Amino acid sequence: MKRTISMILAILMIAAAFAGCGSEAAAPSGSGAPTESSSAGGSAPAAEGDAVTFKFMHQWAEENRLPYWENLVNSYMEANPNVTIETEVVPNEPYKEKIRVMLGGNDVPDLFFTWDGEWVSRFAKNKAITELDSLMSDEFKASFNQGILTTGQVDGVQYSLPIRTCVNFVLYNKQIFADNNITIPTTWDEFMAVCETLKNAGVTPIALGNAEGWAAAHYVSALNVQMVPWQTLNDDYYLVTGDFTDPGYVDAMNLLKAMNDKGYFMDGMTSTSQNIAREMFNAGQTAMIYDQCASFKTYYLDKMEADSWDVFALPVVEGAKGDLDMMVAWVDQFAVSSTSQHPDAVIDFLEYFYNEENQLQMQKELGFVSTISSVTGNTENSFPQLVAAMEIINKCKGFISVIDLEMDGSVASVYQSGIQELFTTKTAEQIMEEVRAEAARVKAEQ
Amino acid sequence: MYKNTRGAYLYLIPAILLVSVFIYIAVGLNFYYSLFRWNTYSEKVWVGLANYTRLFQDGNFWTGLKNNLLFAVISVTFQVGIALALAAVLEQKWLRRFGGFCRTVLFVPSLLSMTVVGLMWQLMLNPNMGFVNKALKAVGLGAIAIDWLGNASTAIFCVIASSQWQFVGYTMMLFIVAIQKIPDDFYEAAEIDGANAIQSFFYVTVPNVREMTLLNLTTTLIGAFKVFDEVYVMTNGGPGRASEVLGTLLFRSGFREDAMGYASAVGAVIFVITFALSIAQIRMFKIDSTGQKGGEG
Repeated sequence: MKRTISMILAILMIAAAFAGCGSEAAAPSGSGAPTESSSAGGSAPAAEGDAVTFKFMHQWAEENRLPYWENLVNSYMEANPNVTIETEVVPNEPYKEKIRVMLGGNDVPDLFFTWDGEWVSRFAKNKAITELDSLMSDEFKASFNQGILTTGQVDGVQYSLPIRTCVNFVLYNKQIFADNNITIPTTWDEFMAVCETLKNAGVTPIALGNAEGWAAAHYVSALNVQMVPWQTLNDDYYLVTGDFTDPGYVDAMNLLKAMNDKGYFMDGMTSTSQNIAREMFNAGQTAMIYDQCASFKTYYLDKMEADSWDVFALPVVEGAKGDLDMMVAWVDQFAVSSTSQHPDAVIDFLEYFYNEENQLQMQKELGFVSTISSVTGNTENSFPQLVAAMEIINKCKGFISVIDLEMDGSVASVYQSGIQELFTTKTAEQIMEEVRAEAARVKAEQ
Repeated sequence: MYKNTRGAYLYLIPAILLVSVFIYIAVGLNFYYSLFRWNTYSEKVWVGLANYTRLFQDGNFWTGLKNNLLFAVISVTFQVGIALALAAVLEQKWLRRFGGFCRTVLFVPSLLSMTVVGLMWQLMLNPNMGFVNKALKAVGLGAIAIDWLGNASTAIFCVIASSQWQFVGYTMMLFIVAIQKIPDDFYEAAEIDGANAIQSFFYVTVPNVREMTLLNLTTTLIGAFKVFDEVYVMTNGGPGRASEVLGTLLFRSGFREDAMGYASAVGAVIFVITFALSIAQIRMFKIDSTGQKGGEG
């Protein structure tokens, strides 16, 4: 008797252990009861009454950005009562890890934010995201700025949709510039003279927080465009040759190192996050900061007095071999997971996001430069600094992205972490040596 | 005594199944996955031992290993050596009145989350708003007030220091418990024999807390090779890769560079190291426990 009971207990325990595993694995497919019915419908368009749930993940967690996305999702769900959108928001840095973890699991977001360049092409090549050509109407496609739309294409196929254009500018504190009788520099030598003047006046010239590693890499990205011939740059970045032998790469880093050596950046640049650097510029503790136009509204306009700051393009190095009509820009994207059960519903939501009204609202509320042609040029809801930035962007002939987004992930990682050590322990030559070795290794793997 | 040994195996099945599913199979799969080139959302490409050859040629791996070793050496010094000394001092008769207060003060940091401690030290060491450089400047040491976490040669030491700050109190507490179990007669006998405080520390305290020393030694060593949180929070392996440890190297390869196979290879190496340390620990304890049994029997 005792034995039978113990047998039963043992079996129950085993069963319990496995029941635990089972329910865990089954959970993601139906996190809400209403979705069960819809999964049978497969990718059928979201017909009325057919309950649809999909997940949406983005990275605008800032308190003055979040409401826009919440309103967008809520207003869409009000208009489409059969659709439930579950939003998840993960801040910029952790997002880079989180999205990779999620794509590998069962809990893949149907619609998610991604960076362009290497990110989109890698997702597309591994079939993690779905092609959108067959899902989008011609009309919807035609509403985009066609040049910018190509940033979401891989080998001519549309894999993601551009959200906003990001270009870096130098932001400056007007009061500090006026106090020191400074005029806007256009050449690198003038720029250095400005920094010197400010430093001598006891003002920290530039706020830069490179703890995350990308902020200083953005300077190098821009300087690479100036210092390295355009074709060489493209061949190297996309590993067509991947030589990275042009002396311009070393010169670009040395220009940045010289700025640090002369004390033009704030103390603790390498260990301070860029958000703290932004706060320091906000508070008038530094005269300048290098940041991108899609951040103007959230980080500066909302936090500083209206006319207290303005922008100029990064000054050019005279006589440099690069193409000075080119610029560094990147375009953030929305992509649809290839495992999504409801791609049509997701596209319908995207059409809603990209309609003129919501795009104008985005420009107004977030200061993002829309990628929809009819909205891009609309300055009605804009502000002077962004208008000035747009004028500079419109004059430029072509773009290449920042190194951390444009290059192969591991080459970019070597490059970027090298730049972090440029200010203390490594020379520019050593860093390029490491980049060349990594590029060769990655190329051999391809 | 219950004679049915077959019944005993039956009771072991659930535990064995759970352990094998969540530990042995996971470890085995990790080795298997390290033979492929893959990322979370791609197909797996067989590469054999290529991840391992790359690993042993990778300067970052050796930096990581070196930093883990530094972590181990310094942690053992502080969390075993200094913690034992602190425990012995706090157990001195003349200090017993303040013992409780001192114990609490030293123990509290270990109750905090590692992330909180990491962020706190990150702020304290920040050259713009941190307390450390302000204090150094105030006492006339402005010359050494550098960017602690931003400098490749000091970053890892700052991380290690914050970890010691957090855990010295914890191991000290364990030593105190062990010291309190030593009969007072031993100390009295030593005193009668003319031993001073230092002699009774080395000849009475140290041999009698041998077991606890061994425990602290192995857990500290294993902990030093598994370290991740402190480094991830405070420097993320930076500046560059200067403060990388094996844990952050694994994380960066897997989740930043999309090289899951390579990350698995790093994981396998960490496993081998910690496994070897655990075996050493188990063997040492076995000798000890059989010895004790003989004494009691």
